[in-house]
Amino acid sequence: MNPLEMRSNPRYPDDRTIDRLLAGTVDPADAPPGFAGPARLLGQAADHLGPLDSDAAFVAALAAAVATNPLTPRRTSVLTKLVTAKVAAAAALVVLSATTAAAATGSLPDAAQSAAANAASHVGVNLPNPSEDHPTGTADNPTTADDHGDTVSGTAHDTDATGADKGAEISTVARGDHGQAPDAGDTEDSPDPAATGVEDNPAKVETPNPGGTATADAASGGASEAGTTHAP
Amino acid sequence: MRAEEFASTLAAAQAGAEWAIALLYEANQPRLLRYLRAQVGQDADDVAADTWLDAARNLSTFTGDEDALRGWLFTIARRRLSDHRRRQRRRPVVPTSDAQVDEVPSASAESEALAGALGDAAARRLVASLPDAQAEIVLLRVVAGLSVDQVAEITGRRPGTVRVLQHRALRRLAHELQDEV
Repeated sequence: MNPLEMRSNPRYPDDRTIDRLLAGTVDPADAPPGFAGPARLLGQAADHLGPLDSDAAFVAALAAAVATNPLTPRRTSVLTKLVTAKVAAAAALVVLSATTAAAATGSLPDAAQSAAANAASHVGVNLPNPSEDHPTGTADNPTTADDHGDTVSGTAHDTDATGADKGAEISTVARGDHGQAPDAGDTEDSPDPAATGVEDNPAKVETPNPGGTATADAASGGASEAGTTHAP
Repeated sequence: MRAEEFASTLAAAQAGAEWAIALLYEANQPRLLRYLRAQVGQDADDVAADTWLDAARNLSTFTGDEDALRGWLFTIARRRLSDHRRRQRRRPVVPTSDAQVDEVPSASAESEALAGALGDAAARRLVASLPDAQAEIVLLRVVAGLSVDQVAEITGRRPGTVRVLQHRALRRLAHELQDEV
């Protein structure tokens, strides 16, 4: 007989009566038909369960066990470790974020910036890399387009060479290791963030830019932009 | 014990007050002993002691009312009972009959008399009459005084399963005891 059949059987006690039987509170005389025996046995099993005098020595041992509860320090320790781990993770995240931001803007010291750029390049991210910057982009090597002309002119005036030698020297300076006109075009057209990153970085903008990174717009005093803007 | 009274007693017990621990012990030990005696006979005192010591060590982690404490205690008792049975399997002992167990003088004879020898005998008969799963459910309901939901949680069964098992247990008892009325 399954439970549903039991419940539909009028001779079988309902859930409430079963709960009373299992609490030992059904008098055998009042039990459902056929359940006087269980009512008596269950009543006996539930009987005499009142308070019991305790053993003082054993209670003292229990009190000592409560007092020396080993769980409290362990729980504290686990909690402490958890909090410490979270703080460390948060700090690491902050440092990583700050480093990433600095690397993205090229603000790190050259060695660190190079390391960051090299590491990022492995995952396809381009960051400013000082080792790949044009050597003309330093304050010690001022070779903007305007400066280049001055330099060539100065060489022409100041050189002690004469004749073919003077021409060769001027030619060398003019052709020079300074202004790199093709590079300027390359830089302007290049999608390389390293090139555009220079302009995003105030520190780099203040640095006299070599001809290589001078834009056509800058060289023309904005005229080229105006021309482009109004071009049909 | 009223709810407020129990809460203050529990708090004192968790702080290590012997009077409070004694109250909790006195209120629950009779049920615990009967539950254990019905299943492991004369080893019940040892298993009960292990249960109480385990409970004392973890008392600071307990939260709840008086019924919840009883359920928690029987959860621990059930685990200590499993440990005891595992040890018994590794170290087999010569089985003794119920009659022999009753004849062996017990160190806890006095407490057994107080708890009610008749009640202990009835609990043992329940265990002897029912399959293990049904006997455990009935003991936890009758002797421990736990609800269907508490028994379900302790035994890892669904409440519906507990009800089915207690239905079957009662039907079996009715069949076995039909001639004794």
